[in-house]
This record gives sequence, C-alpha cells and structure tokens, in this order.
Amino acid sequence: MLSGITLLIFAASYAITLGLEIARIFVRARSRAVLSLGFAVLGLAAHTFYLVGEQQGVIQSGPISSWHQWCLMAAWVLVSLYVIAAFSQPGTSLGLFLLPLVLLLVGVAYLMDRVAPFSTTTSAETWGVIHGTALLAGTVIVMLGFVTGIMYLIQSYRLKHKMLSTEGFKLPSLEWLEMTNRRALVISTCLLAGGLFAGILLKLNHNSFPWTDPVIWSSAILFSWLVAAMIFELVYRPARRGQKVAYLTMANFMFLALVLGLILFGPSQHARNSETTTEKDDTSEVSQGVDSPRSLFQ
Amino acid sequence: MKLHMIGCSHHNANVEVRERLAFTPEQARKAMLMLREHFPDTESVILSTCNRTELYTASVDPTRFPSHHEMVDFLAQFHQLESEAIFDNVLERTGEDVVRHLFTVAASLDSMVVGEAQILSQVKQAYEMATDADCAGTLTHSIFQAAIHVAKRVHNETNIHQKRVSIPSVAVGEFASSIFDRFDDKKVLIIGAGEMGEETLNYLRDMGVRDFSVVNRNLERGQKLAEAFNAEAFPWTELVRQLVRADVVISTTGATEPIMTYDQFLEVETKRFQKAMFILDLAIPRDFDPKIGTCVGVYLFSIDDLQKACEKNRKARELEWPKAEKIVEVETSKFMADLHHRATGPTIKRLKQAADEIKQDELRRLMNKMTDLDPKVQNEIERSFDRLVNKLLHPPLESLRDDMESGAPGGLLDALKRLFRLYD
Repeated sequence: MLSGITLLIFAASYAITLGLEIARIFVRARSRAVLSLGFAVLGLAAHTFYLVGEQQGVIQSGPISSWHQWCLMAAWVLVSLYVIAAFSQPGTSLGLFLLPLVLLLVGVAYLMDRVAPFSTTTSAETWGVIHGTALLAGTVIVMLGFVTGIMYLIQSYRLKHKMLSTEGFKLPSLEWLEMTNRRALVISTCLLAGGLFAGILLKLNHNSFPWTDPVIWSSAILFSWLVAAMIFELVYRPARRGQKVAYLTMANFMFLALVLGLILFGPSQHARNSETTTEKDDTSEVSQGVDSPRSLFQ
Repeated sequence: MKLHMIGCSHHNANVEVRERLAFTPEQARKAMLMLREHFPDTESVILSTCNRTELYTASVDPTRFPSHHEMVDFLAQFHQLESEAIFDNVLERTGEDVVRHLFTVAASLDSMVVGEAQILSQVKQAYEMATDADCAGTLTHSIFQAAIHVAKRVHNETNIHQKRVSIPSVAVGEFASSIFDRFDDKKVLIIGAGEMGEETLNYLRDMGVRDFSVVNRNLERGQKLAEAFNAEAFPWTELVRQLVRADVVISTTGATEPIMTYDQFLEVETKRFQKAMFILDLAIPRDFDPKIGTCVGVYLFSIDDLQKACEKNRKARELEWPKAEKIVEVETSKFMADLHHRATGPTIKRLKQAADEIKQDELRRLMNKMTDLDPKVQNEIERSFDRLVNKLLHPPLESLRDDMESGAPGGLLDALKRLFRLYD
C-alpha cells in the first residue's frame, strides 16, 4: 500500500489546502473550512505513510538519512503545526503563511530525491543524530518565527493604518505574535547553535575538518549572527519588542536560507554528492550520481 | 388557537413612555401571575428591556382569550396609568405576525444596535421567568424555543453579529483585541472623566482588566470615577509617569489644546522602550498629537478613526440584512405550518375515527346478513369500504390543509367540526 503513495499526492493536498486558505479571504463557508482541514489531514496522513515507507525501503541509519528526508521531515512538522493551529484557532489565517514554506520544502525534497543519503558511518553516531535533529528542529522553528514575524508586521501595519480585520483574513494579536517570535528566536538560536557544535564535534571525531568548505564558514557566520542577535536582544530592551523581534527572526530565516542553499546546492561536502564523493563516502545502493530527479509519480 | 402581542419599543415610543411601561423582573413575574388569575387559559411571557416592553399572550382556545383592549387596560392598570394615555403608543401584533416579530427581535434585527448579542439572553431570561412562574404553556414554549433557534441560525449563518458598531465596542473588541492577547495583566489609564471613556472602561472591565488608574485635572472628579472602577486617582502632575506604565490609555478631557504633544511624548517613549501602547483619544479636539501615532509600538486611534470603522461595520451589517431576514421568513413559515398541523391534527384524527366507526358498523351489519360469503369476496368488500371512506375524506382534508397553509386558519376547521359534529 505504501508504495502507491507519492510526493505528488501530499504536495497536491497541501496545494489545495493553500488554495482553500486563499479562498477564505473571499468566501465565508463552513464547507470551505472543513475541506481545507480535510485536505491538510489527508495530506499529512499520506506524508506520514510516505516517510514511513521510505524508512522501511531505503533505510540507511538514524532518523534522518538523506537531504530528501530531512526536507520532508521539516515539512511534516510544519504541516502538523498547521493542523494543530487549524483545530485550536480555526479563525486564524496561519495556513496562508505556513503552507507556501511547506510546499517549498516539498519542492526541495523533490529536487534532492536522488541525492545520496548521509554517510552511514557518521549519521549513526550520537553526534550525527544530534547534529541532524537539532538542525531540523532549529530550521522548523526559524521558519515558524519567520512566518509569525511576517504576520506581526502585517498586523502592525493594519493597526497603524486603522484598518478593520476582515472575516477571511484574521491574524493573532500582536502580543501573541511577539511572544511567539521571541520564543522562536531564543529556541532556534539554541537549537541551531547546538546543531552546529554537534556537527563540528562529529567532524573532529573523524579528524577531518574541512575549514575551507563554504558550508563551514557560512555556518560560522550564521552562528555568529545568532549569538549577536541574542546579545542584541538581551542588552537592547527595544529589541525585545514586537517589530524588532520580527525583523530579527526574519533575518535569522534569511541567514539560514543562505546556509541551507549552500549546503544543498553549493560546492560543499554537505551538498549534492557528485559521483566521486558518493563513491568515497558511501557505498549505498542509492548513490548512483543521477543527473535529474525521478518523476513525481514514482 | 390565538397568538397576541402588545408592547412598545424604540421604534414607536419615546424613552419616557418606555420607562413608564417597563417591568422590573419582580414586576414582570407579578404581572404574569395577575394575568393568569384574570385569564386562566392564557399563556403569557413579558419581555422588558431598556428599549422595549412586550407582552406576549397565547391560548389554544380562542374563545377564552382577552381582547386587545383588555390587554391594554391590563398593562395600563398594572402601571397605574390611564389606558387612553398609552393606547397610541402600544403596538399590536397577532397570529403569524407575532411569530415573525419575536423571531426578528430574538435575532437582534429589531434592536437599536442591530446585531447586538444581549437581546437573545434577555429573550431567554423572559421565557425562563415565565416558565418558572408557570405562566408559559404549549404555545409559548414552542414559539420562544423556536425564536431562540432562529436567533442562533442568524448568528451562525450571517455576519450580522460579528460587526461591531458602537465606538467603545469597536475600540476594545476590534482594535485592542488585535494588539493584546489578554487583558487581566494590562494597565489602563483614564485621562479625564468623559462619558464615552466610562463606557469603554466597562468593556475593558468585561475583558478582564483589573488595573485602572485615573489622571484628571480635577482630582476630586478623578477620584469619583476611580471609585466606580476600583481604581487609583492621580493628580495631573503624574501624567507622564502613568503614561510610562500604561498599556491602554483612554483620553476624554475637554481640553482645547492637546494635552500631549509629540515632543512631550518622546520622554514617555524613551522610558517605555517601545512597549506596545493602545491610545484611544476620544476627546474633541484631540488630546494627543496625531504624530504620536508614528512612534514604534504606539497605536493611536481618534474618535474619527473609530467612527469610520463603525460606519464600515454598519454597512457590512446592512449587506447581511437580507440573508438574516430570509432566515426569519423561512423559519416563520415553517413554524406556522407546524403550528397549523398541530392544530388540525386532533380534528383530523377525530374525523377519521368517526368515519372508521361508521365503516365498521356498516360492515358488521352487512357481514351478519351474508354469512356464507367467500373470504376473498369479504376481503374485497372491506377494501372497497376503505377506499370509499378515504375518497370521501380526501377532498375536505386537502382543503383544510390548504386553508391552514394559506395563513387564514380557523374558518374551515370550525366548519368541519360543526358539519361532522367533532366536539371534544
């Protein structure tokens, strides 16, 4: 049964959910809300089965065995958050902001479909697991902070311009958004810093620390930025307030996107493995140096 | 079966008349009990709010029902007034119009502020009081329960209740709620002692605000207002310090010049570290320099801003009106059809029983005479009798149903009772 589930099924479910969330701005019908939530839950179920199926079929080691899975896991967490929010706060337009990121992650997962899994020797190690999991959790929280940051700025703009909220486009209060943003900033900084340190320790364990790798130095910049943002937030009191926290979380997202871009597409050991690196790091059957991703229907 | 309503509302009576005809809960209970004493077969419910007083009466037996004059006399006598003095201000509704009116009232379509939520709870309270006093009956139970159902339908299926239209409700319900998630930990500062400010404070208190402080040029007046809200009053010199600690500011002074200029506010801003602040400037001329609204974290609303928002909501409500009215119409027709069905039910049952008894008697007589009859033929005769009775009864019953549905019930039903002698 699991083999029948493809990326397209849940990507399409999420796209329909997003379409229905956009329709909320113009149409007020209970059936729309039910359909929207229904498609999200269906998509999440298919997504879960897909991930389980992958683990069963292509299991390498550790909970996150490839970039493809890493992206799908991040998307899965974001959709779960959306579904929880849709149940607990059905009037809020969170999906409008969260679902495009989910689709982006699914899209990246599709592009990363044929990239070799992580090295079995490193990903099974404790530091490897911490590295991957902390970065995954940190990334998800940065994305959440990014979304709530945008929502904060829109809500603030609306209030500054004395605009009434419409039935189809409701945002949480500034206070809630500010609190979520601050928490996202602190938690994501800790998780990303933890993930980066775990990665360094992992490399040091293997006596192979590639200082010149763009990912290493961009990660160092990311880490420095996170620490600077935290210190700025702690020392400068206005930085703890809504608009500035929103800007900080958005800047975090930009830095993270840059680092992830370098990791996924740049000339790095973390990046898409060429045939040579694949052969060196990995002997798995998946690492075949494929030129293009497989079809969405496969 | 008779339904009747007399009363007055903001539509047809001024506040003096409404005040004279209003009932306190105790008075309403006493009036219903008195009415039951005078007219034992009449059910009654009294709905009395600040904008309306309505006396709903109903009876299954129309012959024992008080006339309109008797009801007006009762209302006048209860309030120790002359009937003539109130007659012109008393509105009357009968039959289906009573149902439509109550549905419209409960759905808050007849309220002064259309869509306000309070009226439904007032209708519920009135009905519960009548039930407790044992003054409600089959008809009033049906009509009030249906009214509550209609009000909920209108609430769920239209946006009419969601759009706030009063300045304090828009300020608190729409804007303050978009800034703050909770209010129990917020500090509210009142500058001046205007009436609008007081109303807004009531809304904020309902939202859970506990920490109020008042700053007024006249400390004595400030203390008076502070007492009403369990707040602390401060002299005018404390204004900046209080602004620094406040989350919500309501300003309603009668000052002719702004009490807070942009330059003065900069001192406050520096000390607040851009903490969110909601300022409601309800004074005319304005108390706060509009430029203050450009400061980070400051959300400044003047009375004009709020009025514009109210107007927008009012227009949005008007758009919802036809949808709500349609629900009331559909539900009224449904209720009346159901009511008529219930009214004709016993008569139809009795008519069918009478016809069946005649049929059985005649069949028995015939079968006694034809003892050697083949069971098949006997069965055929019985079925023919059945068909005959059904065919004879079908046209009058259809006509009765049409008459009931046409909205002018009573005549044909009475005629049927008299023609076939269908008495209890």
